[in-house]
Amino acid sequence: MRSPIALALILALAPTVAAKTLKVPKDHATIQAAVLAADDGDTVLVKPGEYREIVVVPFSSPGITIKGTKKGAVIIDARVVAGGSGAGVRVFADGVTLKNLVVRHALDQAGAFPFNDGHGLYVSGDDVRLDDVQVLHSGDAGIFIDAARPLVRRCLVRRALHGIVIQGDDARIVDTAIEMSEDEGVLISGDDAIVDRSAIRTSMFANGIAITGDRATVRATLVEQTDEVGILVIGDDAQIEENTVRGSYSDAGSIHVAGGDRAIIRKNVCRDSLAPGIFDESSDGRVAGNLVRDCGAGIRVVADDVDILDNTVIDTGYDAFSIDGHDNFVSGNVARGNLYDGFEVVGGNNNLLIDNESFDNHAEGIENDGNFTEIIGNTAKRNRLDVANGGGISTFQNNSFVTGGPFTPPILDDD
Amino acid sequence: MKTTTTLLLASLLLATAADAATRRVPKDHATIQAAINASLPGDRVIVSPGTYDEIVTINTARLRLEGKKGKPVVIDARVVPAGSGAGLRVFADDVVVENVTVRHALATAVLVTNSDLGIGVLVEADNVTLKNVTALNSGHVGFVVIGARAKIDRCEVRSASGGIGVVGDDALVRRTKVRLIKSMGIDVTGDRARIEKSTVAATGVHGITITGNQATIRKCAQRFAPGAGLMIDGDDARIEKSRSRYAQVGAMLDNATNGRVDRIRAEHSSHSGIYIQSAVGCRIERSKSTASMLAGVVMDGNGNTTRKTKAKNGGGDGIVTDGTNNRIESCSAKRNQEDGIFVTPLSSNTLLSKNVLVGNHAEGIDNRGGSSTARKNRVSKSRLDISSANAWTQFSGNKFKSGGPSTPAEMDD
Repeated sequence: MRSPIALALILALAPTVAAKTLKVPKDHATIQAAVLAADDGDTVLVKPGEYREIVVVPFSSPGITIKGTKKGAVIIDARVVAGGSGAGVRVFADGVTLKNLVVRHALDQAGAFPFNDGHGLYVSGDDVRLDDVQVLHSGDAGIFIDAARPLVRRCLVRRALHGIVIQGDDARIVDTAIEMSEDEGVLISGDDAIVDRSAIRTSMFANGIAITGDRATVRATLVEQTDEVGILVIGDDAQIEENTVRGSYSDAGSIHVAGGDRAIIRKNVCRDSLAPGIFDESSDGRVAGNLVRDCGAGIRVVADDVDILDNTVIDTGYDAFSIDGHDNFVSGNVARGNLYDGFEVVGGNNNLLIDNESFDNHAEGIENDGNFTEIIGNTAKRNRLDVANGGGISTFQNNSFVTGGPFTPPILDDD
Repeated sequence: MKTTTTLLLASLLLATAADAATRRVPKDHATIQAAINASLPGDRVIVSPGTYDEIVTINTARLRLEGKKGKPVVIDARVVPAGSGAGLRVFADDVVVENVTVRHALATAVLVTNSDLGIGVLVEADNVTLKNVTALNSGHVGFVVIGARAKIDRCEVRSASGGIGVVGDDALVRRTKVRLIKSMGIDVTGDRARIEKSTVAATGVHGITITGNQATIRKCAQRFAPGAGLMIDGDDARIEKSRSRYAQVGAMLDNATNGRVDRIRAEHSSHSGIYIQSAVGCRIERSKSTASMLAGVVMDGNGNTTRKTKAKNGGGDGIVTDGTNNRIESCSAKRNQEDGIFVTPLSSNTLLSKNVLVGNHAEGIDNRGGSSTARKNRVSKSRLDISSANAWTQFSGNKFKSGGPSTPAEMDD
C-alpha cells in the first residue's frame, strides 16, 4: 500500500506530466495552428519573429499559455488584410495566459461582433493573465476584456482609441503603461478593480483612469496629460493612494470621486494642472496627506463626515480647501500662497476646523459660511484677511490670527 | 571747442542726475500713486514691503518704480469688489518697474479701454522694463505690452486667462515663469522678439508663440499645452536648445523662410514633435522627438533640411517630408508605429541620405514622391524596409533586407 503522501504527490504531478509544449514555428508553422492543437494546461512557445496572423483561442482551449521566448521579440501583426481584420488576439477561453508578446496594428473589420473592432486584444474568458504584453497601434481599445478576474501585468499599450477597457469584476492592472490614448487610458466597469504602479500618459479627449464600481483601488500610479479628470472613481469604498497626477484640464479635478461613500484619498500629489487637485463627493471617507501644488484649485469636499487631515495645498489658483457639507473634520492641513481662501466652509453644519495653518493666501485665511462651525487652534497669518465669518460659529478658541475675526464678515472675496 | 561741448554735455547730464528725486512710500507719500504723481521724468519711487490696495498708473517717462527684492511689494487691485481694471498701468516711455507683485486685477463693469480689462500689468509705451515683476490671478492677461523694445526679465505670471502678450518689435522675455493659464502662455507679435530661459507650464492653448520675423526662442521649457508648445510664425526664426513635453506639437515653425530648429527635445506630443509648415529653406538639426502620437518630425514646404535628428517610439511616422527639394540627412527613426521616413505623394526631388531606420512598423522608407534620391541609408527590422511608388533619380549604397526601390508599399495604416 502506498503512503498517503506518495499518493498525493502522484496526483499532483499527473496533470503536469500531461501538459505539453508546442513550439512555433518548429512544431507548428503558425501560432494559431499550435493553439488549435493545444489542450488545457499546454504551452505554445513562440520563437522571435513577426507573425502576420489573427490568433483566436477558442472556448475549447482553456488554461493554455501562449508565450514568446524573448520579451518584445514575438510580434503578432494583425495587418492580415488591408481593410482591417478585427481584434489581433481573441481569447474566448478561461484561464489563458499570454506572455512576452507584441500585438500590433489591429484595425476595425466590418461586422457586428465585438471582436470585429480593432482591439489589440479581445478577451471574453475569465481569469486571463497578460504578462509582458505590448499592444501597439490599435484602431479601437488596446486591450478589451469582457470578463472577470483579469490580470494585466508589466504590459504596454501605446496608441489606441481607448487604452484598456475592462467590463468585469476583480480586474488588476499592475506595472503597466498606457500611452497615447484618444479616449480613456483605463476604463473599468466592475467591482474590486485594482490599478497599481502603472503609468497613463496622454488621454487626448477623456479621463486618464475612470472606474465605475465599488471597492476600486488606484495606487502608486502616474497620470499625465488628460483632457478630463486624471483619476475618476464612481463607487463606494474607493481607495486612491500615492498617485501622482499632472496636467489635467477638467474643472472636475485631477482626482475626482464622483459618487459613493467611504472613499479614502491619501498621499497623492497633484501638480501642474488647470484642473483643481482633488474633488471628493464621497461621504464618510478620508482625504489625508495629499499635496496639491500649482493647480487650478486645491481640495474641494462636497460631502459629509469626511476626515480631511494633514494635506498641503500651495500656490493654487483658487481656494485651497473648500468644505461644503456637514460634520466634516478638518485638521492638520496647510494652505499657503493660494489665490483665494485658505479654508472656506462654504455651507453645512457642524464642521470642525482644528489645528490648521493658513498663510499668505490672497483672500481670507479662514472663511466660514456654514452653521455651528467650530474653529479651534488654527493659525492664520499674512492673508489678506485672516479670519472672516459669514455664517454661524459655535466655538472659536485658541486661534492665532492678526486681521479679521469671528465677527468680521467676508468682504474681500472675488468669488 | 570740442572740450567746451563735452563739458557742457557732462554738466547737463550731472544736472539731470542731481535733479532726479527719490520718493519713498509710505515714508514720503502714503500711496504709490501719490509718489508717482509727484514725480518728474527720471525720478525714482521706492516702495517698502507691504500690500497696497490701489490701482497704479505711471504717466511719467523714465520713472523707476522699485520694491525690495525678496520682500514683496504687493499691489492688490481689489479696490472695489466688482473689479477695477488693470492693476499697474504704464503709459510713459523708458519706465522701469522692479520687484513688484500685482494681484487680482479684474475687469471693470464697463469696458471702454484696455485699462478696464483685468490685466495685471498693462504697458502702452516703448522701452519699458519689467524686472522681477509678478502678476497673480489676473482676470484677463498677466502682462500686456503694446510698445517696442519691451524687456521682461525674471518675471512671473500665475493664474490668468492669458499669460504674457506683447505687441511690438524687439521684445525680450527672459528668465520668466508662466503657469496656470487658460489660453496662451507667452504670445509676442513683432519682429526680432527673443524669449530665453523661460518656463511655461499648464496652459490651455499654446505655450510660447511668436508672430514676426527674426524671432528666437532659446533655452525655454514648456510642459502641458493642448496647442503648440513652442511656435514661431515668421521668417528667419530660431527655436533652439529648448524642451517641450506634453504639447500638441512640441516645436513649430509656421509660414517660415530660412528658419531653424536646433537641439529641441519634444516628448509626448499628441500630434507631432517638430513641425515646420509652409516652410522654405528651413533646417531642423540635432533635435529629438520621443513618443509623439502622429509623427516625430514633419517637414512641409520646399527646400528644407532635417539633419542629425532622431524620432523614436512614436505612434505614427518617424519623419515625414512633403514638398520639393527637401533633404533628410543623417537622421534616425526607430520603433515608430508607421513609417520610418515617409515621402508624401506631393513631394519631388527629395534626398534621403545616411539615415538609420530600425524597427518601424510599416515601411522603413516609404517613398511616394517623384524623382527622389536615396543614398547610403541603413534600414532594418521594419515590416518592409523600403518601398517606392515611383522611380528613383538615384538609389545607391543603401542597406536593407526587405522590399526595394521598386517594391510598392503594402500595409500602411
